[in-house]
Amino acid sequence: MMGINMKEEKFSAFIDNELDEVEFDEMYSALSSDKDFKRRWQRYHIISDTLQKHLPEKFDCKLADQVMLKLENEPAIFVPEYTSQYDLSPVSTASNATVTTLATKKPFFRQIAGLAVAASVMVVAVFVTQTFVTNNGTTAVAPVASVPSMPAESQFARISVPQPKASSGYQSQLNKYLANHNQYSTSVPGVMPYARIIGYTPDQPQRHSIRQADK
Amino acid sequence: MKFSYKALLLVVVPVISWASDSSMEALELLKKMYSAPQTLNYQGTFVYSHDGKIESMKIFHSVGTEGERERLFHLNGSAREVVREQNLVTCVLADNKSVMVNKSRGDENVFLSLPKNFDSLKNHYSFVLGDDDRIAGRHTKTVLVDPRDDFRYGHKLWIDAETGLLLSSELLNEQNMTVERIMFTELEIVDKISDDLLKPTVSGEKFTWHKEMADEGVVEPGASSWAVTNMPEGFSASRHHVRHESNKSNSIEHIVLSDGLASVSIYVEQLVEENSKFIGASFMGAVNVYGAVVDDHQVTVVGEVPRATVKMIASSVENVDLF
Repeated sequence: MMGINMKEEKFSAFIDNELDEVEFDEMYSALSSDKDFKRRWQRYHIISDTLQKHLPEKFDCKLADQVMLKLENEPAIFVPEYTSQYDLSPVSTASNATVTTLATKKPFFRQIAGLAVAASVMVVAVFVTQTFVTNNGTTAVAPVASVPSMPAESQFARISVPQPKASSGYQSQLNKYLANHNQYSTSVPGVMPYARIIGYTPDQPQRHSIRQADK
Repeated sequence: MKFSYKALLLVVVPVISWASDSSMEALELLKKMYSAPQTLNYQGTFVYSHDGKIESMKIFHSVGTEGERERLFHLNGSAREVVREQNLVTCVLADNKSVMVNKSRGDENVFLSLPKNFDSLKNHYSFVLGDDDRIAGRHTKTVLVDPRDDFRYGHKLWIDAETGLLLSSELLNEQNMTVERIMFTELEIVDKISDDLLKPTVSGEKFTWHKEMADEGVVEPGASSWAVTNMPEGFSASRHHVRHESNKSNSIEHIVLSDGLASVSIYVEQLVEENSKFIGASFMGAVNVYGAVVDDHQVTVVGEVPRATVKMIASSVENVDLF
């Protein structure tokens, strides 16, 4: 059995893509059955993406888990297995024995497929939630790409368009409305309304002005 | 096998009872959360995240014979501070060279009236006790306030188990994604906060001072020609005022709608200049805004609710005098 340190080292090498094929397959299996490792795997990637500025403003961490859960609950679809290189007649899928054989023989690939789908959906979730306000007032979605190792700029390149705004005369009026409305914000006690007032830094385009999103 | 209703009751009753207990415990925590700042002196650092940005801020909070006093300020960039004392809120924005003074209406918080209005609130929200957690090194209990439709936001609250202080809160949109978050990273409960720490470091001299729109009084039912004809279920008008700005001759009608937890403001004013129209949707963090022009009047709807809600309300504002 693999010791804890060895497992940690292998996990680290797995994250860094430094394992050979056999070790890589072993770690994939471990990831599929170990919830803690699965969480760490996600966390490491999120940290890595954050440091490399791959992350958009909002994404749903739970989406990958939800996809994994769906896949686990999904009934397995068995592909007929050919018994020999020359015998092309499929083994009967009506046989329980055959089903058992297939189920025990192929779970590894199903798990990999599950992980791969979950990972790619997570990447897609990261992409599709990165929306931008365009100058014609509509909301556009960044193009979807799904190769995690691509440079950040090519995957998450922001659409650089001028932010449409309300007329300058009306913007100051909107700001007064926002400050006034904060006095009636009854939802949760605490500092949120006041943090909102002072929380906009000068380099942000929406400081003391609000962006027109759409109609 | 004979179906046993008694067996079913044995399962169902404890589940209902547990759900009810969870709601009641969540409710008790919310009440404790509301009253905690009224009795505690504390100082701390918190982060405010919105629109993918993180802002770091410091807070000093004091309770004395004169009531609650509080100062919070941005730790980065130019000085931006908010000082709350007695019934006044003063916002000093150094980079903008402006000072805004508003009246504080902290005593109108919804949780003060809990559980009186809990029955109506639970038609539109569920209150559930979540898992224990740790924020700023302190043990917290979590409460989930989950809306029952897509016309209001949800809340996740982390409440200090010992003191009841709100240590972290998330505002969740209709996709259950966080729109805004406040989270303490450090908190110290102290015996006393020095007066010096509650004074703004920026004097405000040579700044432009903006005072709150003067309140000309309550609009009696039937006295206004403006009406909101469509709003999400559970919302009703909680205020209808006429306001006046010192530099403008026209008055502004201000209607506040509330479902008991979320609130929406509707401002109606005469359109003076054609180029000052605002039509469509905007947002700032969790606050959504929708503008419409009705009978030469600018209608602006502002609220911490989803865009669909402000749009629905703005689109339904009518000048009933015409009919």
